[in-house]
Amino acid sequence: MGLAAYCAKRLLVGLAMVVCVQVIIFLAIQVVPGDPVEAMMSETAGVGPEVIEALRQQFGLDKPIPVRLLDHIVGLFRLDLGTSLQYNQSAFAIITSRLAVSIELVVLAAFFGIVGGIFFGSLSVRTRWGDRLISVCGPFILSVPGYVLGSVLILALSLTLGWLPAGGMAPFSDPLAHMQRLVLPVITLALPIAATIAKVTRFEILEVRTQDWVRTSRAYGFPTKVTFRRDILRNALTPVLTISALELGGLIGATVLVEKVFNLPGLGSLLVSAVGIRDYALIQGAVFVISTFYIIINIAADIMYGFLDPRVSKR
Amino acid sequence: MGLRRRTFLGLATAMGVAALTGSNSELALARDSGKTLTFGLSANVGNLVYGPSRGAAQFIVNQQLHRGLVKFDENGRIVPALAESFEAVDPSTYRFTLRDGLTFHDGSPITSATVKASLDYLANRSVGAAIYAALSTLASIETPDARTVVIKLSKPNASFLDYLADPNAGISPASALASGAANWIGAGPFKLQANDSGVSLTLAKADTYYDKDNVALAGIKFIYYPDSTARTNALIAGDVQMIDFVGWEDFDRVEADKKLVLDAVPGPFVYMLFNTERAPFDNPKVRQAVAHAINRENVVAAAFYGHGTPLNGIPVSPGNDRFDPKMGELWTYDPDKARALLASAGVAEGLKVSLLTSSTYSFFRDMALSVQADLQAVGIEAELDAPDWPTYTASKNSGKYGLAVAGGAPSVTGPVYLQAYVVGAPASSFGSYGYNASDIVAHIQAGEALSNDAAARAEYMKAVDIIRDAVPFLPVAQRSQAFARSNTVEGFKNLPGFLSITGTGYMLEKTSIR
Amino acid sequence: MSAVIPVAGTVTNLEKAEPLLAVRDLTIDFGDKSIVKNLSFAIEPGETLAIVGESGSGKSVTALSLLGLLGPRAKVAGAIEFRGQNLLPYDFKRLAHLRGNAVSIIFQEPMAALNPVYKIGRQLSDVLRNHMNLTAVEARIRVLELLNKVKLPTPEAKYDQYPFELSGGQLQRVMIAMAIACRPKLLIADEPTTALDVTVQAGILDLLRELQAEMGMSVLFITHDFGVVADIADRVLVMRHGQQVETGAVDTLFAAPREDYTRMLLSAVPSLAKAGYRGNAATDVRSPVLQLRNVGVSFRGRRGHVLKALDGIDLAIARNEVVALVGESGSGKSTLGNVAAGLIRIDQGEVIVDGTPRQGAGASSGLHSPSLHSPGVSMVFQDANASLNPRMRIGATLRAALKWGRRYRPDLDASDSYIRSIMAEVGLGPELFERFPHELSGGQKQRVGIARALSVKPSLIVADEPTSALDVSVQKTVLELFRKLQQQHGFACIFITHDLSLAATNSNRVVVMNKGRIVEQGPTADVLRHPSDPYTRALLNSIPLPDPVAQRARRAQREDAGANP
Repeated sequence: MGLAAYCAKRLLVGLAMVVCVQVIIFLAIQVVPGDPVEAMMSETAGVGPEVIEALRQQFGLDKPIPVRLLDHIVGLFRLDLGTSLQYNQSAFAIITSRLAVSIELVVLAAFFGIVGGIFFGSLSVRTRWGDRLISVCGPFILSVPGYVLGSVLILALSLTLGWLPAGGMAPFSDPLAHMQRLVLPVITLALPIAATIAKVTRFEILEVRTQDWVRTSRAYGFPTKVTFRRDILRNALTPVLTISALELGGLIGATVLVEKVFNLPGLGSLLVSAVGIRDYALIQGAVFVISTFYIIINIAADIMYGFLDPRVSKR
Repeated sequence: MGLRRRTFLGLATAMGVAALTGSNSELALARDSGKTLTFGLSANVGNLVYGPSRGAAQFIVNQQLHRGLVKFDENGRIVPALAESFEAVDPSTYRFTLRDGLTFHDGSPITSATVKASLDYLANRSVGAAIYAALSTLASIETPDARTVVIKLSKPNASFLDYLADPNAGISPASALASGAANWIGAGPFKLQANDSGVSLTLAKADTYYDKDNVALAGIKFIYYPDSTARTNALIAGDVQMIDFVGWEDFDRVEADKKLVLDAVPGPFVYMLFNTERAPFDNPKVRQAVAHAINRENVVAAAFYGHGTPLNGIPVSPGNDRFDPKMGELWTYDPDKARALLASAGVAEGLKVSLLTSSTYSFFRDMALSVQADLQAVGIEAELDAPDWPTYTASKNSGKYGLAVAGGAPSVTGPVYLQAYVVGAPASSFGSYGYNASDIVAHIQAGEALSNDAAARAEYMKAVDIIRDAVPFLPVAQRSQAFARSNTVEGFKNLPGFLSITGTGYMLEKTSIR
Repeated sequence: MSAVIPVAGTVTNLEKAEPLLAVRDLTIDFGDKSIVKNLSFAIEPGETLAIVGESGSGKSVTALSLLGLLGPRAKVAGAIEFRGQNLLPYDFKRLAHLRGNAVSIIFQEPMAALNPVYKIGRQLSDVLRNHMNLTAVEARIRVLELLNKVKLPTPEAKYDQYPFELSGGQLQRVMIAMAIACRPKLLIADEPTTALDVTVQAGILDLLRELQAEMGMSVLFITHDFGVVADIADRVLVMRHGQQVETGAVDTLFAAPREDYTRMLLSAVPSLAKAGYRGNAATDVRSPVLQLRNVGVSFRGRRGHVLKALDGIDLAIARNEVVALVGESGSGKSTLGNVAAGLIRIDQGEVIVDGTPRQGAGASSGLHSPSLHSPGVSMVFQDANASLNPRMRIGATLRAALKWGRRYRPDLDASDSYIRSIMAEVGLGPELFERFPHELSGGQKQRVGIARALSVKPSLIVADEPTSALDVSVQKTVLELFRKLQQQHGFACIFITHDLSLAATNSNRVVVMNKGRIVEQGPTADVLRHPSDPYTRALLNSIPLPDPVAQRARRAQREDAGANP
């Protein structure tokens, strides 16, 4: 099967999965008690059932569930996710404005986490101090929850030393301030990934190192560095990729807390707050984006997998 | 500007300020106080919507962009705003004279017709306006000329002006008067300059504002900090110069910093609701027993880290002559009396009830835990039900509880606010489920019809007497509501009482930076 | 050191007194363990020296030590002189220059020895460019030349293929191409044909001889197979426990071994020529234990590709009978064994065990039907080590098999005393009852495997290459034990092997398989002495004879045949 056909097939299945997730989430939030209009009006005095009912009608929430579900799915294909009641704005616009921050966080954290993890994992095999670093710092980083790590970083670097802002986001138009605000959250997210990846990389390198082809490489006089890069690290990367894809998936979840601690307007915190006020359009929209992201990551990982290990793609 | 920030950061901000003030830099230079305030705001206000209440953070933004006929001054009094003068012809008829030459930020004129259109829109039930309770009795709005507006109500309402000073009652242009429309253009002291959706909102001083000469700031940059710890951190780190809604757990941290000022006042209150349709709380004696069983000091300590005021009666607004101080002294903490009341009501030891609270707000949960212990001491086993906010709201509105914890922030200062809390759900979502308050409402309405404060006070007292015995709702404590700011920020004041939420936002137009 | 015995056509440089490689007093320790002790040998230019020994003799360690490939834990002492220069102590910079250049090496498992993620062409040109200053284009041309030289079919296509797309024999040719890429003076071949089928092995050995003659290189050949030794070596060095047992010219050593150990090894070599064929078994063919009728099994590949692993198999096996299934890898012999044991579902035909239909017509059908497995059949696996749970004691392993067997046959005795008696029967001492597999030798582990199969009193045992992982001497005793047990208990047996000489000595009947079909079957002696099928004949001709003279004659015959087709 050609790569294009394979991708097309995976994308089609992915699309079906996205729609399934949408239907499940739609039905699930209908089952959960709590009404968006009631929640929205909960702090307005003198609100009686007649006001609630009038508002429900205005927002189309009085229509039967199947009709609303169908409307939603049809809207999805036109990239119309509906209007957020809380923000009085198209859910699509809100999500796209939040998405940039989330993607930036996830991509940077994944990049530094994975590259750093592979680097330190390799270092731990090749040098003694690298080995110590991994065996001491790894479990420590992994045992500290992300928000604690984030809070400690803020306390140390922002509140005490004043080197970096304590949180928040600056627009892209101010690149320096923007990057400054990303430093701590990216470190917070990337460290546990780096620790995990380093461990896996180390394990895989030790595993691959005993393989016959490594002996062949040495037996044919390749310099140590070439053998390491060409015949050990390259082969060790395949399982590392699998773990990386899993970590990347988990990263979306991890961003929720980091967004909170560092006051970043990302998708995770948006989804959490949307659930907290039953903002249906935002919930559906955020889930749509996140599930699409997951599926794309998985397809990308599979394609990368085939690239790294020809046995997968050729069979 | 925070001293700890690195030079280039300061430079960046300074450049930002320069850009911001560029349009009216002459003025700013001339008065030398044209600085921009960076404000850490407790919620993302989204796309402003005209009419409905969307929480305290949006009130603050509304009060900068929009202006109504009247507003609150630093003493909590109603003063003219877009209206040059006003007059209560009688408790159900109000006449306003608009200032000359009023315009919105976009230059379009504001006439009596504009005002009528706005208020008519808010009187529409399906808008869900914050002041709908007051406008539901609107009889007519007359506009004899371009600067005169006469509002007639079908029932007297002595607090009508309070409603018109509400942050959600600014006068808005026709384009905002539709569902889903954005409401960014107003008649307030600041206009929208940039909206970095989800991150920040930049406002610049508006030249169209009627009182622009007394506006000190060149602009305000609101940065959203939904997390209370992150908000306080931003203030301490110098990322912002002022924040609203300081978390109670952070009071000490702010007070310990000499460069910061904590401005806390007794603000909104927390209270208990009863399901009066079901035993045992259908019996007033049982409700009275609860009123005597709750140790309010403990609630303040548990829910607000000690930053609050116990309430032994209904919350009264300071400086409002329509309240009698006795209204604040209805019940005392007396477990023995509570037990006696329960015994006389025939309630057996070990009564089991459900106690509804919400896990969304920690102070709700902590208050419920404190109340649970107090009830246990008098022989009532309260089982906690702590779902998230929408589920809590649904349960509260549909009577799926025995006892419930609730929070209230009245938008008017006069005793008429009680009406929303005594009338039972589902008619009023703030009240105890199934409670019939027609007798209390009758006295309140009678009070509203009287223009003499003393006579009205006596009428309100009759209502409160019924409240004492029937306990339709049980106020427990007033929580401290705090703003915090750098000591370089001057001219700001947190208004005490309910106005902390609905009135304090008006203070920013007088705020300046040293 | 004995004098070099020249062999016609191989020695080009007799006058040169100095050997290409001279190893003196080589001693290799891993920690406290001494693996090689005071070993000395020399290889003359153009000469092939075979080091023969059983596993653990230190022969491979010796080979790897020549290029310093043993890793940091090994302590290597003595002298390794290559072209007069001592390589010890190792100077890894100098070694890097030598490796793959003047001295190159090929390994036992070509599939494992090549990196699975790079194309064949890349791996070869990397080697070339590591030692020579070549452009990518030049390297490609050289690589294609090399691939041609090792007679790899369609080298252009193979250039862009990955190792997993090639067969074991093709990969070993690639390895050889890699080894000769830089025209080495010495080629070390560490069991290069052990993992290959006999017909493939013959081709590889021929290729090595040819290249050696053409390039004039010396070969150090490590093997355990005397057939291979007889085929390729000029001189032989027999090793045991890290020491030299005996060395000499190949003809002399085979004709007149001086040491007992050498004699023992030679006598343990299964040989068709010397084979004592087993006659027909006393059986009742009318009531077979296992009956297969027109059995077919297909495996579905990923792209809808269907592979017929078995096709139209008709076979009946009676009590007391040992039937050898022979054939090369991929012939379907193991699949057939698995069908007999009820481990694989068939696509067509019928399987009848002990008169009960197990698969096909008459068998109770349905997915995961328990009837697939028949309690009368048990199995002995090839890899005794992998077939024992490393965390279970031997006694517990045997008890588990019996407990499972009792689900079908409640009369089975699962008591410890019965288990001990079975262990005694296969020659395992009672002290092993509480031992773990890793505490046992390879032969002992396979005895446990046999005990396990035997304990459930089967009517048929499927033995899938039961001794191919064992050394020849161990293999011999295990097979003797197996034969004794078979005669005592009278169970029928399917003996799967790739080694025709083992089939000769251990079976009553032989079934030759190729590509999922039975090509020939009949009484063992008949089939192996007078093969009627060309495939069987080819198979028989590929087996190296453990007799250098006979082997030389046969090669000459084969080369003549190749020259005048």
